[in-house]
Amino acid sequence: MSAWATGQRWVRVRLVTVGIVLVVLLASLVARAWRLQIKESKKYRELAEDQYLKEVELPSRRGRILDRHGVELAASAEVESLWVNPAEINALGHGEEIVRAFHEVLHIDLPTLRKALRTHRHFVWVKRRLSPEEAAAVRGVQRRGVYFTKEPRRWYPNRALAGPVLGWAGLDGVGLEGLELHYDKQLRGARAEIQGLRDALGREVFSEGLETPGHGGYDLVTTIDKFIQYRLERALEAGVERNHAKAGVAVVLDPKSGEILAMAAVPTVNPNDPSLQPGQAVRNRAVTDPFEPGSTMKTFSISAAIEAGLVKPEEHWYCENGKYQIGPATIHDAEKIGDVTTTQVLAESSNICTAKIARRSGRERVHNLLRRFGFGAATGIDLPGERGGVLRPVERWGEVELATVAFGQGITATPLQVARGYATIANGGTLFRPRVVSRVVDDKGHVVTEFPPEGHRVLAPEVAATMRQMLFAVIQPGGTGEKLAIPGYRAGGKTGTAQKVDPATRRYSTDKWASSFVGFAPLDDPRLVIFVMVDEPSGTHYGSMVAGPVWRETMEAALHYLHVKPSEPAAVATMPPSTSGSAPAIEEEGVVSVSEEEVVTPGAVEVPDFTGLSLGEAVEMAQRAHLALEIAGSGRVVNQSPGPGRARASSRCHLQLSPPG
Amino acid sequence: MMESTPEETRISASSYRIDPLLFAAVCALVGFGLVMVYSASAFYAQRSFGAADYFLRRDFAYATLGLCAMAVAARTDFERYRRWAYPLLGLTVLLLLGVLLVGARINGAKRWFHIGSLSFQPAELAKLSLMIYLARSLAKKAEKVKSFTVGFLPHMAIAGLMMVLLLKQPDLGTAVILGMATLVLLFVAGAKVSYLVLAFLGAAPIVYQAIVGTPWRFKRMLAYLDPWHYRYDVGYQITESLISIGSGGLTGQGLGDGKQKLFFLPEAHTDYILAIVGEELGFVGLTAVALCFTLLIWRGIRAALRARNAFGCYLGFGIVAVIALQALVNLGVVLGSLPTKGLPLPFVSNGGSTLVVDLLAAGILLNISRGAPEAATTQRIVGLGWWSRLWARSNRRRWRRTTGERVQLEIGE
Repeated sequence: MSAWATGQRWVRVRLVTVGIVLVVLLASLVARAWRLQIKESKKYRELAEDQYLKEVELPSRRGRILDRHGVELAASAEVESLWVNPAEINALGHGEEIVRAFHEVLHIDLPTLRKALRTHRHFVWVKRRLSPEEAAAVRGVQRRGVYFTKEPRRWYPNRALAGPVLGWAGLDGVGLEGLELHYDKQLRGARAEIQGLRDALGREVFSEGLETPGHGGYDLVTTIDKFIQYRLERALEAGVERNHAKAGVAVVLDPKSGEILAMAAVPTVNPNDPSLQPGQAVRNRAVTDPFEPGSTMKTFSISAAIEAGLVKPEEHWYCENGKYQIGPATIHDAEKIGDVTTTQVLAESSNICTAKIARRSGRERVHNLLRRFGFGAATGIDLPGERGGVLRPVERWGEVELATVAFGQGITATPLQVARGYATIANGGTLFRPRVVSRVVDDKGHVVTEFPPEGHRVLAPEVAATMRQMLFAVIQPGGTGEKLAIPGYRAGGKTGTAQKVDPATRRYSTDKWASSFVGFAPLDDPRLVIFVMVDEPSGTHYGSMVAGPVWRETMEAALHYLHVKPSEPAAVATMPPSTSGSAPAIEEEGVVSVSEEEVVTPGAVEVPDFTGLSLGEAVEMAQRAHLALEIAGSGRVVNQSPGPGRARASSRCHLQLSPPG
Repeated sequence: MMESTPEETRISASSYRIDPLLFAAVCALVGFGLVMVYSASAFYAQRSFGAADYFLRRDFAYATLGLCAMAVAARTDFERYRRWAYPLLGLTVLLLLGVLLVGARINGAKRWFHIGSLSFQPAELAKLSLMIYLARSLAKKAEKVKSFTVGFLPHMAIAGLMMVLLLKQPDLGTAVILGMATLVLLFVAGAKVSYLVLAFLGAAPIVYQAIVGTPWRFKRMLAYLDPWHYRYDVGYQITESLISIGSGGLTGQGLGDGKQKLFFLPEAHTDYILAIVGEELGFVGLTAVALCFTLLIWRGIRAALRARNAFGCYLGFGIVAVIALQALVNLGVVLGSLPTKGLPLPFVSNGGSTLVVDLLAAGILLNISRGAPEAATTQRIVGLGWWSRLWARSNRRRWRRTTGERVQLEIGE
């Protein structure tokens, strides 16, 4: 008691001192809180909002790409993607377990996985677009902090079919090439964005209201016809292989609208290949690669003379027996030709007489016609990467240039430009803007945007008619394409055998050729224009022998497929029965599926009789028949349209259901 | 002014009034803690345990247990602990050793004993038993406290032993609290300031080594110095805490409306409960908590001053020091003023045995606050008596000594 008493005073002083110090420290922390909460509050509030008011993006379904009949060329399927929440996993302390499990199941190396978990973030992708087997395996080792998210994966059911045209979309559903790139905005659709509260796991917590209207990706209805595309690709592949050529390119146009029915390139590309990179050396050569077209250009230079009334088809020309001097240059013909008519000049493809005809027209007329036909400028097709070729300004044309341009050297054009030029002659003189997409539709099938044919007259119908007759002669006996006649149909066309410039010597090479054939059918009312070019064939290089067969094969199949009436009834009888109907023809030729998922259905399908079936039975039957259904009402099928029998492939069958009794 | 009270019937020591303000401060903090724990943990509990009130129920159970312990301790004469000082000290050291051997490892630290579904941290007991030991020893040594060998060395040795054992767990936070509380208590008891400075300087290299020598502590230090640079790494907790508090503003976003607890802020219902308070109740809420602790410091020191003997004074002050230092460190961490330490906020944070032991200590403090006649003198010396004056007017019951001798309570000058 006494010790306590004597020490008391100082003890008390010290006690109070310590108490005051503690309270002062507390007050200084309150002052710190004041600074954070009152003075800097705005900054922190923004940081906080940045964290939890993340725009919750609802990835919309990427639109499909359809052929002209509605067959899917590109579609999106939902697949599982795997992500983890490292913060949660680290808090639970089972990171190593997860790392080992993933290593075993997904074969991702351990350091990569460990590194991915070494963070306080709440979202890290482990692997995206898992295969169903991988997803199942991961589910087997499911732990807290491991999550799946559905992500759309782009899917091209027909594999490489029309690959260079379709292009492809990357992992995040962004179009990188082809139509996928050109129409990326429409395919992606407007993203619906919800300002939702997001917890640290990135999950939406509260998401009522604030929704901005979005819509799914729109579908593209292309002008591509899957059947023609398929036939063209097979024929072109075979042609390239047969001639041991470097590459091939082909285009099928509807001359009456400028619609692209098919467009092929060899080598092609399978857009399902995940290793594809943008700008890879897989080009849609029909629009990206101008080349010196050669003799196919003669049609245009002669058109200029006919149009001006300077030359008549039956006028005679002397072709100098294969050798002719223009200024400093000597021009050769492939074969020695003597005295021929203008029609024969084209049919036998004389360079010398074409040069003479062009000289009579004069450089302005030839240049003007080529300009009108769209050479030297891009066609404006709805595909990326298009180039326009080179048409030199007329002031720079000398005597020699006029002659060479007249037979297609010294000028470059894309296959599409050449095909379009022939389509213009085929349709009577209207230059159409080529199109791959005819309309954009929403998920209910309503048209969002339509692209009607855009064309303008560039040539008088009579001149075009004259040219068609002259081109008909090419495929007649005596013409360069005499072997290309199609039984039952009259057609017009032109061969092209162009020397290529050797990139090493910068001179015309003697063994590098671009062999092409372009033509239309039927002659009097052309439905199709087909251009085929085989690049650097080895062995024979004549357009008629290299590209011609590809053209003929495709044209014949397409005419039958389109049920085009043969113009020479007599010839029908000579047709082998196997090619009389398009659909069975394919099956008998043993065409197999282009993909495991979908057998290439040619032009028609067999529609079963649905009457009296329940909905379930009808759906099952429709699946077997590869038919899409539209269903109205409930009960049993009482009516169907189209009725049982043969119908256009990929058409929808409308079923009317009604309760029994 | 003098005021005398009429003679009353004899009453026992245990029926002396406890300090109602001190009691109120503790209860307010515990009640507030329950509300905030629920607000902070409901979302997480719903997601993780399927029940929003998972942590609330647990916290409520521990709070009930703790309040019972507090009630018992408040009615138990603190003199009893004097006898238990050494046995308790021995038990604590054994437990601290034991936990290193058989303790459960959570997040890389061995701090807990698990008995069934209950867990217990010896570190909690260490705080209390060290204070009891120091109080007893300092009261006994009285004037000799000034000497190095008798007054300074033994106490530092015991405290140092405990700190070393705690660092082994590792539990740097509790070790630092114990060290600081010991130094402060020695200072109050009259140890030479030069020794204390020496001890402080001596500890500095050890703390430095503990920080620089341990990669995660070093990283925490870096995060403390520049949290935004390490925002997604070691600075994550501190930056999220700052975002929580800063976005609260003056009055906060409203109770239950905080967004950071949606997993951004780890351990929102335990060590970082104040960040949620700051976010949901704003500056006003944080200030209210700070005021509660200020009240607790003031009334706690007042109780120590009024203790009827030196043991009670030192013990009471030791308890106040531990609680206050822990609250200061917690608040400092949450506000980014101190490097991250895993220390809960006394009475408020969710945490089983911690809450029980803290409330038990509060009960002891309340018992000490029952005071003794010396309190009257105390009031005169330091002039802390104004509230007592009011209290005396409204309440005519006066203190009596256990001896039964009637005492006049002097109030005022």
